[in-house]
Amino acid sequence: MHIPDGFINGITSLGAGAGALGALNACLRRLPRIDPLVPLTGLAGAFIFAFQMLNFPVAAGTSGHLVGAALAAILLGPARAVVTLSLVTLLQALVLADGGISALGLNVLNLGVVAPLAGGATYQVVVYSFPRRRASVASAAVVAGLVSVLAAAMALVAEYALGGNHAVPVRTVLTAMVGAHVVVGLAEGLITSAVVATVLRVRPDLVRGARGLAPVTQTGGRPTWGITVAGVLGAAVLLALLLPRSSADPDAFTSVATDQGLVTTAPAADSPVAERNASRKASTSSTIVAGVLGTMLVFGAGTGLFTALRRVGNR
Amino acid sequence: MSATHTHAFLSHQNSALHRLAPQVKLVACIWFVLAVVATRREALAFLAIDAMLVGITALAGGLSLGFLARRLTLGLPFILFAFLLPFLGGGPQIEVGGMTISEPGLWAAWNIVAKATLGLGVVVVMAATTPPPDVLAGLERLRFPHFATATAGFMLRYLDLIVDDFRRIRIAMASRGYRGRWFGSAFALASSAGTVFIRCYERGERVHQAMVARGYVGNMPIPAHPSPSRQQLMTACGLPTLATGLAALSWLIK
Repeated sequence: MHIPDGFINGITSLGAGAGALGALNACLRRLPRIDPLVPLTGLAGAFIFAFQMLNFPVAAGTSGHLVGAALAAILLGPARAVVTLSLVTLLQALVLADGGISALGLNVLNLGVVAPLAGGATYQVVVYSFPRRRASVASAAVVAGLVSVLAAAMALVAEYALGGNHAVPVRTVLTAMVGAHVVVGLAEGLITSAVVATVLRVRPDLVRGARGLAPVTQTGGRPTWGITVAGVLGAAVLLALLLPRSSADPDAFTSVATDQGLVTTAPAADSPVAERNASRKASTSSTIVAGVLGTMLVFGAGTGLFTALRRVGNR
Repeated sequence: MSATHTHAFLSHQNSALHRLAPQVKLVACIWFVLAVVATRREALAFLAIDAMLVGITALAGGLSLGFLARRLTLGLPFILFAFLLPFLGGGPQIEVGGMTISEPGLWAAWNIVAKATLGLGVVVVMAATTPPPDVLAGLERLRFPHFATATAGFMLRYLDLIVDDFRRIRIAMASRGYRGRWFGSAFALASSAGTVFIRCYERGERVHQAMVARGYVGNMPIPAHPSPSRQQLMTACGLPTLATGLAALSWLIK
């Protein structure tokens, strides 16, 4: 979905444009200055362009269309994906009149920078936490597709929160966007995975994200602690930044549960976590503590689950 | 999906607007959109004048108003969200036609619909009077990095070809009984997309080799365009200057 003119105010659009230009510049610098780059990136861009025109059936009669950000990030590498998708978004605005001219910076940031970078980063994290072989690529691609779409939607919500006309509360927009884009993102992830799997079968050398992965089933390599620590830290920082803003009122699930009388027991009053549910005016520090504890819990559970799965798989 | 999707917006004529240098058109177009966005949303008369300006420009470019209207409806799905705003919005409620809707929501919706339509209108006029390669030449003239315009040039040149590749595969699938009505069949499309990607990449490699064989060393030739004359500049600046004046007035006269 491309943002039209008049949706987000000028200052936010300008800021997003500056951010997009900066990211684009950084990615351009990372590209090698050898010449197959122009025709190959151009052809890949034409492919993504055509791919976005491809409608796929969702259910009885309705269809959705794809972004291809995670796909580009996996096939071409994140830096080239950013350049490719930004150019596609620019061309769509100028030649096909998709999205507003004054919102070009926003659209390039969301679809051309945030989506491929989020997809690429997620892919890297997932593929390296699995055993390093090609079979891991398919599952990593699903997650990367989902995350790339969700990240673009989240970026839009953030821009709306910063510079939208708040006729509709940010929280409503957030809920609607997440709800819709989880479904869209899952579809995107599955399709991305299927496309990558096809390319991997026929021309594995073209999948940049699968370089250095063993083609046959082998026992996995060493866990990459750097990426793991960076991921957990990143999640904690995000929580610290986002949670104080989001927890001013109970989230949709909690409020629904309370309204329906599903939640009757208050958590133990002496734990720092308790405040999050007990009081609407939760203090910032205890919110962050709750968030970090939650992250650690999820991280621990996930690690345990995947370790167990790997043991079973290796047997 | 049509074979000529990239050129669907182009109208093959030779008006003064068609002859205007692309870089001038690009700047005028962007400037106009920024001026429209900066106009106060409550200034209905000024936005109406902006709409008339877009209409006059379209006529000057030899485009009929019907053509403009048809192209504008293509933008409709993108502003669909705006139509939900009056119903979802909070704040003071007003009664319109027996329904209670939110007043700030209605204004927000109006803001998006009006400005998105005006912005779309002027881009449609530009796209209809400027062939896509000229848009790129214009960007190049505006000091856009050569790498970006050259790559975008390849994208536009091969887009039709690749869309055709997709279409041929779809026809082949349909003739073998593919119906594509439920989500599972999307995987068939996905694997055909994988095939198209491989073909694209291999085509890129072949094209690059052919280019090297013809002396390509990393720079594409830039089509020569004459510099815009003073008169052209004056004509092109007229539209955005008027819109800027209207935007300024809309804030002065409340």
